[in-house]
Amino acid sequence: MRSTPVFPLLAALALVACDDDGDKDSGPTTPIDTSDSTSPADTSESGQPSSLCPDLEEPPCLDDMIWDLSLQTEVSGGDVTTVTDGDDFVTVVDAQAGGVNNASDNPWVYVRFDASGASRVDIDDETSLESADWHLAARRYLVRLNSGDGGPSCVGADAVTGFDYADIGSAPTDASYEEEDFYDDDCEIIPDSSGLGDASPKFALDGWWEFKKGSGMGCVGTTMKPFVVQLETGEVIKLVIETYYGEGQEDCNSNGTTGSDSAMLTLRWRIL
Amino acid sequence: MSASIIVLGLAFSAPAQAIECLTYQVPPPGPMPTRPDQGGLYSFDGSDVLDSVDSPGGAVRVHYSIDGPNVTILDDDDGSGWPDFAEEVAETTEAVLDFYESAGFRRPLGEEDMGLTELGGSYAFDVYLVDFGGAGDGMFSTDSCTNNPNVCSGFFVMENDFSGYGYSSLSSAINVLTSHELFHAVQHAYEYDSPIWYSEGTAVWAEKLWDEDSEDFFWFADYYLEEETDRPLDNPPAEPAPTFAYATCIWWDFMAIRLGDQALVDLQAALEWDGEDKDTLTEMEAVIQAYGSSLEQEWATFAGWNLATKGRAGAMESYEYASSVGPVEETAEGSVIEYDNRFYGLASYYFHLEHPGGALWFSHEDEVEGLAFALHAVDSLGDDGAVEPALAEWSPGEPAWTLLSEDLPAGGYWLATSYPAVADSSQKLHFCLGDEATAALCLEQGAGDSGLEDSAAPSDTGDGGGDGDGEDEGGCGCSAPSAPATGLGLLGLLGLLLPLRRRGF
Repeated sequence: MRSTPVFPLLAALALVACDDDGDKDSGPTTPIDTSDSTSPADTSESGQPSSLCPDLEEPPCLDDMIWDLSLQTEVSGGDVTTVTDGDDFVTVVDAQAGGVNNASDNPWVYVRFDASGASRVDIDDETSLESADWHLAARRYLVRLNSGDGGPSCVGADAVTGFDYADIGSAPTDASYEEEDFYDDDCEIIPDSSGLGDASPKFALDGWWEFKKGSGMGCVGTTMKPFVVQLETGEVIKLVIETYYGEGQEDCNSNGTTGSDSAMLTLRWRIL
Repeated sequence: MSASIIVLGLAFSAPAQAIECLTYQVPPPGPMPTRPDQGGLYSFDGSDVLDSVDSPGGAVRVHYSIDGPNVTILDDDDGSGWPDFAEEVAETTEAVLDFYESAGFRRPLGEEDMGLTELGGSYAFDVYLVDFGGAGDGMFSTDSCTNNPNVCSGFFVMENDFSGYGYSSLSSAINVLTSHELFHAVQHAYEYDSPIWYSEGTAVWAEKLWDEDSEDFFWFADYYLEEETDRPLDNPPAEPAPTFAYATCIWWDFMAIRLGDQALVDLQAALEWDGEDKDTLTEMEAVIQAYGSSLEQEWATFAGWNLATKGRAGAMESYEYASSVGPVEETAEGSVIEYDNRFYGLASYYFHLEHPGGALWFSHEDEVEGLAFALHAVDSLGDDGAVEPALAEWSPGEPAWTLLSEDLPAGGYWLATSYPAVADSSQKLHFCLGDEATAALCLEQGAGDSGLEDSAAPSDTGDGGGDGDGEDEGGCGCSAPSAPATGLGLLGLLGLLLPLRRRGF
């Protein structure tokens, strides 16, 4: 493939215009102002009430990760806003990173979950490699957790198969919280099943999206696959990524029509 | 020439195949993907009315739409009965096929080689003109592959009219697309699973092999120089079709200039499965050695050539086109330099020093191995401009102070650095360049040797510098032998070039 350099799936991951049909039955209700949080309460390393992994571990494939994931020394300005929706939190993460053609030159946005909602952690990519302050990081369709190959902490996830998000009332007793493990022993990327190869490593939240082919170039469909995520504090949240597009996700999921405002991730989650 | 008209009834989809093609990850042998007249991501529409034209020698058949969403440019100024655009695609593709073969590469595999039927209505190589809608402009796709050897036959799809694209002319677009996509077909006659930084970078290089003025090549060469010299050659960002992978073309061109085009032919052949999978970097290094050089020499020279581009070209050896590409982005600049970061294998870093005059010290606090440093003066000692051949070249080792010059004239200088090796891991280096006080920022000064007569001094390349007259400025306290103007061979001395003065660690 020659680059122009815009490509179909690439474009699908960016995508533009479509209809503005909302995708949720009931919208979020109560806003929580956490978007500009620079140092979330009790998120400093010394301020952690407890940690399953007090000793941070350097990701084993650091050199490769810095270049593969194009880690930057700047801090993302992508907004992270959280509202409540019943007993759930709904967090929108602006992971646009300057658009699809500029993403590799822009930093990831870092998110921390706690009892008051989710907030942005203002650290740059390289600092993230030495920080337990964050739980989840996102850039475009890439979403990684702070553990294993993805970061120095021990945030793990397990997909809850056979259930919808709403059906999960408590942390499964047999959950196996997998840390990030997207490099093999030779520090080569282990790709997920999307077919994108190295462009889409097999992150712990693997399977939250799938390529939807329609009459156009296709789009990033959300599978609504729920996960339980164990934070380094030992708390467990249930989580589902509901949308990739600010508008038009439902059309994408149903007929492959591309949405607009791509990489505006909507996370629905709750502490169990 | 021959032609046929087909009205299609199409079924769409095959996203997985399409996605894999996007990132040039060729699927293992399996069910045969569809041709564009049967469906797929880049395909004709059911309402398209198709026609085709064969190349003069019959080696290529171009399929296009004469009516419908993918209609091509139908002008027929020569009155041949076929659209001029499609004819030019056919003729150029055939010429490129022959050209690559004459350059020493294998001819792409066809349906007949793989025991397939005539998928495009003949055994000619098939090209399809389809509307990409701005999302790319060409794609090679496979029909059939085998394992061991890992080879495939295939076809390519290219933009149907280039409307809205930025090529300077249709002919330029045709030259770029045919030479690029056909080179992927050539690659697949050897090995289908090469890393993207090699497969795309060499395909862009092949564009220039075919057309030395390839605008596409120069666009990507610019991108590499201006944006990505600090990224390891084999580490493109993990994203679909990363621009960096294409931009490695300038390294492959450098190799071809230095070693000859045959080196790239040999490298492609070396990547062929012969009972075991091949590592591209390992084979690349072996080919360079087979041509009497080393990766260390070549990469360090590459770093120097890249510095001498655009307005910095003209005073030292570099590309013939050096003044029209680049320049490289500086990693840091100032009247003194203090830098603390990691050096990655097969990457380069550039520091612009505005030296106020006087002694020039280099100190570093980390023990490192295999890094290549070269200090260049700016022509006429201006702030920026053409750079002279290296005044000194050295490889830092143990933490130390090094007196590069007792009295270096005021003016602009460049420090070109690289880690010219296939490296398992990066090396952290905190170094300082400037006066004595600056050197002390990186490493406490001790009572070491003053050692200007030390034979382990940085090498004076003997290529001049400073005022460019080739004479010793009297500042670079070096006694190493002269070296050829190319810089070749200099880096072989690096193992001997230890710092002058050491701290007692």
